[in-house]
Amino acid sequence: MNLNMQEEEDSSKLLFEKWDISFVGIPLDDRGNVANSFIEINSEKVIEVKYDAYEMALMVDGKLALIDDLDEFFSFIEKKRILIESTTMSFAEMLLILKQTKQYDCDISILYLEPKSYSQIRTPLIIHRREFELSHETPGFFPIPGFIKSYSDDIVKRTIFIAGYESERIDRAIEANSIPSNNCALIFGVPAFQAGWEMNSFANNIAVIKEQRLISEPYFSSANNPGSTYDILEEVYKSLDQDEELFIAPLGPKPGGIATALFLVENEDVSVFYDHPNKTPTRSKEVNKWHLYDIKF
Amino acid sequence: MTGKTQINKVRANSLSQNRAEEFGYDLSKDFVLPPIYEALDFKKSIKPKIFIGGRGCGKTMLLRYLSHQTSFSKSKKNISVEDIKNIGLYWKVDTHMVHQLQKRGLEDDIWQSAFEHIVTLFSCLEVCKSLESIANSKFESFGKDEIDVLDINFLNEIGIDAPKSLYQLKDYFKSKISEFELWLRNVRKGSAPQFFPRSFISLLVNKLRNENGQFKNSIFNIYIDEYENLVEYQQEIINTWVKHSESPIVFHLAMKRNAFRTKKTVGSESLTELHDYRVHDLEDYPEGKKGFMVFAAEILLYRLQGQVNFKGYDFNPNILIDPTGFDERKSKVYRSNILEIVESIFPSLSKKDLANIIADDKNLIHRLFEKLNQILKIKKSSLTARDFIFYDDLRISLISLSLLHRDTIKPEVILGEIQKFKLGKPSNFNNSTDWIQNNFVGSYLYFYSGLNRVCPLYTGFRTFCEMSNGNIRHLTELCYKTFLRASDSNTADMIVEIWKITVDHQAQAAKQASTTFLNEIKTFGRYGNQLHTFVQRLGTLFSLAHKNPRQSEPEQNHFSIVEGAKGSKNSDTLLNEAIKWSVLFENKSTKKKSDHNPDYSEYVLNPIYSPYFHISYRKKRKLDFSLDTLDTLFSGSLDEYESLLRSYRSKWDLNENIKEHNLFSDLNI
Repeated sequence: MNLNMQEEEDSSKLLFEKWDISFVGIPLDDRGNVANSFIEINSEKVIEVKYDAYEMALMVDGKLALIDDLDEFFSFIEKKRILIESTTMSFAEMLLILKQTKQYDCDISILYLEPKSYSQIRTPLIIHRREFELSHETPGFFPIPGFIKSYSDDIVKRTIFIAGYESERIDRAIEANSIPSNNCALIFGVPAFQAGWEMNSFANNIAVIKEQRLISEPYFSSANNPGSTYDILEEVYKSLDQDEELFIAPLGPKPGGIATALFLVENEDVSVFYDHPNKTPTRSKEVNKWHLYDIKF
Repeated sequence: MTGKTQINKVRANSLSQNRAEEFGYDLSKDFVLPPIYEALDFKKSIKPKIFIGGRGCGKTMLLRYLSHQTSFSKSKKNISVEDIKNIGLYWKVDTHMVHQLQKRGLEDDIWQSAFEHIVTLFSCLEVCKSLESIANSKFESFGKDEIDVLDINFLNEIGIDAPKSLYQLKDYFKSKISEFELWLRNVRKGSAPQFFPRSFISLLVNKLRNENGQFKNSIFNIYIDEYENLVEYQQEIINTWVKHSESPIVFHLAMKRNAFRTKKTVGSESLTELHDYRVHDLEDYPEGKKGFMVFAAEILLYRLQGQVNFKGYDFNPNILIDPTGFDERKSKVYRSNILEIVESIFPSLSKKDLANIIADDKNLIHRLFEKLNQILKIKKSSLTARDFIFYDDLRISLISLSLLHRDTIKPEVILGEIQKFKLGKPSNFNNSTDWIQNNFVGSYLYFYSGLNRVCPLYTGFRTFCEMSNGNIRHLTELCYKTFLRASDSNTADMIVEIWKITVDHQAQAAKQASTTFLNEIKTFGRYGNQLHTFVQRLGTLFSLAHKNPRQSEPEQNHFSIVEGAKGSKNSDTLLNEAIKWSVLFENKSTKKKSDHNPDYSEYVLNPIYSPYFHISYRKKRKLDFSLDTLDTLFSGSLDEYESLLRSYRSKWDLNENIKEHNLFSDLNI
C-alpha cells in the first residue's frame, strides 16, 4: 500500500483532481461544514453515510444497506475516483467505505481537517479543566461484523489503543472486553495537532495507565500522520507470537483511526474494538490544517 | 500471639492483582474460598444457581474456581471419584459475538439456531477439555490411556462425519467454531454452517457416561458468565435451558443485579426463583459485615503470606483454599487472631483519638478556636471558645460547635452539659440523648470540610470494609493504595514496612481509591457517562447536606423517592442501571411510609465514593427526593442542577460560600 500525504494551511494549496464520488458523514461542527463546502465544489456526487451500530447497517443517502449486503450495494463505485471525508465520519463509517473502495479498485483519497480548538465541558468544578466535551453517550463496544477474527478464550489478545483525550474509553475497553493489562499498549499522538495538546492526552490517560497497571511502554506517533501510526501497527503485528491475535482500538484522533482502518483492510486477521460514541455537536471550533491522503492499495 | 516481629517488609504489588483475568483459569492456589461456597451444596441439589453482584465481587473467580481447570488442576494432590461427580464448564458471554447474532437481514429463527449452535460448540469443546483436565490430573482411574481408547463420537451415529477420538473431536469442535466465526464475518455470503442443537451436548455427555463408568454419575455444570450481555432472545433460550436443567447437564448463571432483560423462556412459562433456580448474592455475606471483614482479612493475609511474620501467629494459608477448612475458619480464636493482625496492619483510631489529633496540629486547633469564637460572636454570647475546649476529649468541643449553631440550645446549657461530662457525671453527651453517638461523625466531617487535607475518619481496616460494602475488589484496592502510599518509592519493588502504616497513609489511599472508583463509573456500560454525572451531582448534594453547621440532621447519604407523579422513563432506566452497576444499593425499607404505599425503597450511594465527597460512609439519614429532583440529578441541564443546589442551600439556610472541590481534589495525592 502506498500513502501520499499532503498538509496545507488551506484547501487552495492542496493538489488534487476532482473526485467522482465523495462520501461524507454528518457535519457536527465548523470543520464538517467547511469540509462539506469544499467537497460540494470538487465532487461530481456527494453521498452521506451513517452507521448504526445497533442495527449493524449503513444508511447511504437515506437508504438502508445491511452490513452483509455492502459488497453488492457498492458496485457503483467500481474504478471511480473516491474521496472519503473522514472529519465528519465515525471510524466505523470510514472503515466500511474504505473496505469497499479497496474491493472495487478505486482511486482513493481521504480528507481530514484539524480543529483549531476543542469544546471543554462546562462544569462548576475546576478539576475537569482537561475534560473535553467530545462524546455524550457511548453505546458500547459493539462489533463491526467482518472485523473480528475470533472469539475464543484460547487466543492471546494483544491490544493496541490509539489514545485520545477521553481516557474513560480505554478504561471501558479494558473492562468490557476483559483485556489483560499485561498485553496491551497505548499509542500517543506526539507531536500533537498543536504544541501542548499532548498534555491533555497524557494527563487524562495517565490515571488509566496507572490504575489498569498497563506495564508496556507506550508508542508515540505524530497525531496527524497516519503513516507513522500504520508503521507502529505493522511493527506490533510482525512481533506477534503464534498464539497471539492483534486487536486495535482506535479511540483517539482521526488520523490514528485512518491508520487503523487502512491496517484492518490490509490485514484480515486483525480485529478491532470500537465503542461508537455519539459525538457532541459543536465538539470543535474552527479549522486548522488541511490533510489529504492519497492511497494506492 | 507474641509481639515479636522478625520480618516486617512486603512488596506493595502483592495486592495489585484485582481482576479475574490476571489470575488465569487454574485458581487452585489463588482463590480464597468465600463463605458463600459452603452454601453451594452440589451433593444435595442440582438446582441451577444464579450468582449476582457488582463488578469486583468475585463472580468470575468463583465460576472459574468451579470449572474443570481448577477442579482437576495438576497441582492438586488428590482427585477422588467424588470430585468428578461435578464437572464445571465455563463460558463467558462475548459481547462482540452475541450482538452479531441478530438482525443483519436474517430471520429470527436462524439466529436462534445459530446461537444455540455456538453455545453447543463451546460447551462440547469444554466437555472435551474437561476430560483432558481429568486425565492430566492426579485422578488415578482415568488417564491418557483411557482417553486413547475412548470412543465418544456420537456424531457419526446421527450421520455427521466427525472423528471419534477425544483429541480429534476437540479439534473438530474448534474447527466448527472457526467455521462459524468465518460465516459470521458475512452471513449473506456462502451457506450457513450446519447448526448443532443443544441436545448435542446431552448426546455427547450421555455417550461419555456410557463409554466410561467413571462418569456414570457425573453432572456437567455449565457456568455462563456475564449473562447480562446476552440480547433478549438469547436470554430466553438460556432461561429455557436453566428451567429445564436436569442431570447430567445443569446450567448456572452469573450476572450483575437487575440483569434479566426477560425471564421468559421460549415456551409459555417464565423462569421463577426458588422453583427453577436459587440466587446467591456474592455481596451478601452469611454473617453480614462481620463475615465480609473476616473474609477480607483472609484474602489479605493469603496474599501476604510467605513474605512476613504475622507477629508470631502461625497462619495456615491452606485452610483458605481447601473446602474442608471452613470449620477451622469459623473458630472464634482464629477469627480474632486474623482480625487482630489486619487491624494492626491497617490501624484505626477511636473516635476520641480521631478528635484529639486536632490538638496536635496547631492549624487545626486554631481553626477550632476560630470557629467556636465566630459562632459565639454571632450568638452574642459572653462565653469564649476556651470554655468549650476540652483537651482531654475534643469530641465534646467539636460537637459543641455544631450544637452552638442550633437556635434551640443556649450556649450556657451546652456549657453546663460539658461541666457535668468533665466531672464524670451523666450528661446529654453520654446519656440517652447521646450527643456523642448522634453527632460526632457529622461534626467531625463538618470540621474537616473545606480543608485541603485528607480526613482521618476513613481509616482502619473496619472502615475500609464498611466502605467496600462486600466488594473485594474495592477492599483490596484500598489496601493496595495504602501500601503504595506507605512504600519506599526508591525501591523498584515498592517495599512496605507493614507495621508502620499510618492513619495518614490510609486516609490518602482512601481518597485516591475513591477518586479512582468514581472515575470508573464512566466505564459502566452504555450509560456510564450519565451515571458518572449522576453520582457527581448526588454526591455533591450530600456533601452540601454535610456542610450544614447545625448538624441537626447529620450524615445524610441516601435517599428515597416520595410518592407522586411518575418519573421520566430515562430516570427509571438510569436508576435501574445505577443498581445494576452497584453505584446505588437498593434497600427495601422496613419502616412503613404510608397506608397507601406500605413498601418503599431507599437508595444508598455506594460508600466507596464517600471519601471523595467527604461524606459519611455509614447509612444514617436520608433525603426525600421528588421525581423531578431525581430527573434533574440524572439528566437535568447544568442550570437546572445548579438551581436545585440553590434551593437546598436556601432550605438548609447555608449562607457561606461553599467550595465544592478545589483544583487538587481530583489529583492522586
